Amino acid sequence: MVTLTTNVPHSSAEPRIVVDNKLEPGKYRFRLVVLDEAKNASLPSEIVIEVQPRQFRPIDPDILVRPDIFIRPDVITQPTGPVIRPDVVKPDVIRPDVFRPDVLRPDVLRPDVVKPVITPEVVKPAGPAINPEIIARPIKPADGPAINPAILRPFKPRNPIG
Amino acid sequence: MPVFRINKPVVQATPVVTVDVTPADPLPLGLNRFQLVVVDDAGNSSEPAIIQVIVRDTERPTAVLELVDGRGVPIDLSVAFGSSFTLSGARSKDTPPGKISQYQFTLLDRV
Repeated sequence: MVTLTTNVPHSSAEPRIVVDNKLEPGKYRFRLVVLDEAKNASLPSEIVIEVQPRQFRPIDPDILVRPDIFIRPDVITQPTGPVIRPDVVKPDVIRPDVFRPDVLRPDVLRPDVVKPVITPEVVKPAGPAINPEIIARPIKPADGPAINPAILRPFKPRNPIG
Repeated sequence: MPVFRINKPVVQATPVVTVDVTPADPLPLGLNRFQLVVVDDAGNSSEPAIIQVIVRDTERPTAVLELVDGRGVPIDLSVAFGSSFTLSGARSKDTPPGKISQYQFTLLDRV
């Protein structure tokens, strides 16, 4: 990097220099003279370089008249051009009806509790009614007819084989 | 025999032209640019084509100053405000076997 001073030659052994003068817009003349090893100087070579005017970026009038846009979180997190347009910074997604969908309504979150009523159904058995008293009562020999042990005889088949 | 003047077109119907110089009216030493624009029979003009001719000094070194980009390729003589730029004398030459030993760059007064 070289900062040239007006009308003061800058000597260099290299054929190229990077000029970092902060020149105002306009046309400037630059000159080069070269010397050989025998110190013979060339005739000057000159060029005229034009420094272009400053380029100002147009500012959207909305920014000047609506400074409140800058403090909105959605604008700060998305600072690109299109985001600051009114139709973009107020998208449908921030509307209350979108942030409060039906599923958040109290009547949906707290549905009516229906208390179940359980009524047992008495099913009568298909067979004859059983008197619990009869089942529970032990059978006593006295309930039946008396058995004479003398009557008891061993069993004999009526048609013996052989 | 056409005589070339700076920024004055030489118009002709044939494609070849000879640039004659005289000791009294030579081309300047160093870099000279020639531009060609052709026109068809409907009057349509082409984009300009430009070549560079370097007139060498046979007794002294010849300085050639150009504005170049980062790769050393010559560019139009225009830069953006506030940006650095590169000046190059790489195409300067000395009469063989002499060699260039020093480059003196100068910013002159504003035009």
